[in-house]
Amino acid sequence: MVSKQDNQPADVCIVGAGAAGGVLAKKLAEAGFKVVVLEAGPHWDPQNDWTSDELDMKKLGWRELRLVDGKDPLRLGHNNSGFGVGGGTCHFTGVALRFHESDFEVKTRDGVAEDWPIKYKDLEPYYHQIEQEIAVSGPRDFPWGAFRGPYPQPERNPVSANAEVFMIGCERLGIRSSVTPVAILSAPYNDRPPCTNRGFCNQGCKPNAKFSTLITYIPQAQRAGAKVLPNCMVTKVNLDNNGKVSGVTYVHDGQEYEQRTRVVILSAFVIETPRLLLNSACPQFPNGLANTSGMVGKNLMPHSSHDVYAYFDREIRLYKGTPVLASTQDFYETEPGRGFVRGYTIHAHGSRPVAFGRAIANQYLLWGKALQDLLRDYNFYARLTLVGEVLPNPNNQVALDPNLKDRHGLPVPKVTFGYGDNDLKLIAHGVEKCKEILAAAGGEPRYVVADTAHLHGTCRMGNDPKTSVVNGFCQSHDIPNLFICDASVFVTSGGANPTMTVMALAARTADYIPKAMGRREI
Amino acid sequence: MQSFYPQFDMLQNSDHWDEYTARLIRKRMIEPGKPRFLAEQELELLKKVCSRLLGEENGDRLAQVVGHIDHKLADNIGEGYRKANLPEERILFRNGLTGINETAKGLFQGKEFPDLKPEEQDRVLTEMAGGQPPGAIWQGLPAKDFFKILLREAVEIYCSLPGVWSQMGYAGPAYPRGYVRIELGGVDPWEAVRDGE
Ligand SMILES: Cc1cc2nc3c(=O)[nH]c(=O)nc-3n(C[C@H](O)[C@H](O)[C@H](O)COP(=O)(O)OP(=O)(O)OC[C@H]3O[C@@H](n4cnc5c(N)ncnc54)[C@H](O)[C@@H]3O)c2cc1C
Ligand code: SF4
Repeated sequence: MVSKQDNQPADVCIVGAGAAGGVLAKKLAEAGFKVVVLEAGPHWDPQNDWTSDELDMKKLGWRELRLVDGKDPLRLGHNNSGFGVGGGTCHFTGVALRFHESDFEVKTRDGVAEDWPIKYKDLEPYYHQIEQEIAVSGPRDFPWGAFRGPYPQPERNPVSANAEVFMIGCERLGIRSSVTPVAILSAPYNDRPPCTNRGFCNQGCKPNAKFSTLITYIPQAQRAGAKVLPNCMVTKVNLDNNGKVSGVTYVHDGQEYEQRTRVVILSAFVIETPRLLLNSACPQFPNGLANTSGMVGKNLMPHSSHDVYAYFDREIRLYKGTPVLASTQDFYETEPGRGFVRGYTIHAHGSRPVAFGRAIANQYLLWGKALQDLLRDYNFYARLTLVGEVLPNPNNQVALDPNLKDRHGLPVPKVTFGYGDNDLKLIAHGVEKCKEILAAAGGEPRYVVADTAHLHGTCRMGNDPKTSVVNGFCQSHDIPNLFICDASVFVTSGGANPTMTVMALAARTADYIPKAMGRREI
Repeated sequence: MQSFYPQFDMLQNSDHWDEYTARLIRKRMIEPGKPRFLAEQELELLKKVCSRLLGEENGDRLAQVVGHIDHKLADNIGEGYRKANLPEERILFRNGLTGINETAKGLFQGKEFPDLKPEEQDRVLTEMAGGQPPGAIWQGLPAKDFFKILLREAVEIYCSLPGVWSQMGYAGPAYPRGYVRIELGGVDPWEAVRDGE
């Protein structure tokens, strides 16, 4: 039985209050629309709900069950999926990179994957807008890509010891490195203080020095009249007789409700967005809502994100400072002769005790005395991390498990992933570079931990409705008043952290919707 | 654990922690009491296993480690994800613990894990890590996956104990104070330094 928490239909209902959902809510509410945001998780209060503790703050990750499968099963939860208002931005590392021009034209340039239906130029003004709004700090001269700075705030100074040894190693090898642009304040901004270098970005920033949509776009959206409803898990997108979406069904406190609306935007991230579409199958769309292309759930891409640890004979103290403060993109673009296409970013990347011990112990099966020795030497390790492009492959996917149901009675998602040949060659190259840099800085590379970060794909954008789910404005090809706007629309993964691109896409979609509604195209 | 910082006690910093963090960590150090999900016997077995896995003999620490694992299984707040070939976490732990005893019996003339000498216990764990230990349960339960999950859970809580933090030379939570000397060679006055420095 579907009842109504609130009889008021919305103009726009946004599912998921994460990176994209936050930006969309603010911009559409300020444009005068009646916006309702439904978020599965809680509305966090950083002061009261958060601690400086790795174990406790795993609660920022998505906890409902997902099955992982395939040749290289993914590590989900806190590793890549946020939960609660702010979504992944509450516990992201804050690295604020743009994609490069080449990222949008991989097919044309490299003959693999697909081109995006938009170009870098289409996103450029939105990258700029977001950077200004969230006050990214970064260098005066960023050495790579189409945008070389300056950023709204000066670069972070000082950088951590781990970032220093990385930069020393790079310099000795003739590799360019740079202080990383981050969505973390280097100077006061509005009522927020600069970073205190406590190092807990992945546990949520208590001082509010790090940007999240929880502390910026969401309150701005609320001030503009948007309703943000936490603890509301959307279970179905509903279709009317004219082939348009009429609203969504959601569960709050065990009770089912319906939110009626003129436009639905799904911003529930790369696993829950396709899952919701597949779970919303109906007679008109037997294979999943908005899925005549058959591409919903396909081409799931993480970043390869191997960690390389080197031992130094002096203390590095990986716990101190913002985790990522220095990077190189010297290996970002395709280079003939490397034996693979596309590329990667390398970050100097701090780590606290739990993540450090768990990662290495699990990869190398270190236990007993070997584990004790590892932990004893914690302060003497430096760490570099790869953010490597992973090419799309339709067999890497989110599907519904036929047997297992969650507590709402909905099939749980089954997430299948395995690296391809190009991905593995790229990883081998990147790991070797990390080792070279650490060795040049005087370290002894000891451990390489295979890992992934960030997720993309599963509802890709494109011009052809037969091979893509949404158009270049994140609008469903099949259903004009349904939008999908989050990291799931990515056509390729790029080799850089994705959230600036997620939010630029959201800002662009928020610009488009009022115009399209004005033209009565929706 | 040997330590480069035998004099260092990071709890000395706890006056500078925010109250939520301080309360959480204080609670973690309290004797966990009766198990809530595991049976007493399972808990004792788990303690013996964790002692070998972590290379730790301190009874308080081991009680905190297994207490945490037991509470987590009892609370059952959601696993986030698991490999498609594995049963749910509670069944995995229950059957896995039974399996450890089966392997012990198979290797050492019917003796259970807690009754083995430390080297023999290590042999059981080595067989599990290798993926092919004797024991009927392992026909349907991948031993290596269970070993890795057990190790992961044990290390996560172990590396969250203030005593272990002190030994590692980790100065710990720093809100609201923050860290100031973050550059190479820099140490704030409340951080660990090696003896004689
Ligand atoms: C540890 C970590 C570090 C990271 N570091 C960086 C970094 O340094 N730089 C960078 O660029 N990116 C980083 N990222 C990635 C970044 O967090 C994501 O790219 C970004 O959050 C994706 O935005 P999104 O809007 O697609 O989804 P999200 O931000 O994940 O938001 C999705 C929201 O939808 C909600 N939701 C899901 N299903 C439903 C449903 N059915 N009903 C209602 N609500 C639902 C979720 O609870 C969540 O709040 C990091 C991520 C993690 C986890
Ligand atoms: S390092 Fe800075 S940005 Fe990160 S959590 Fe700490 S204060 Fe916030």
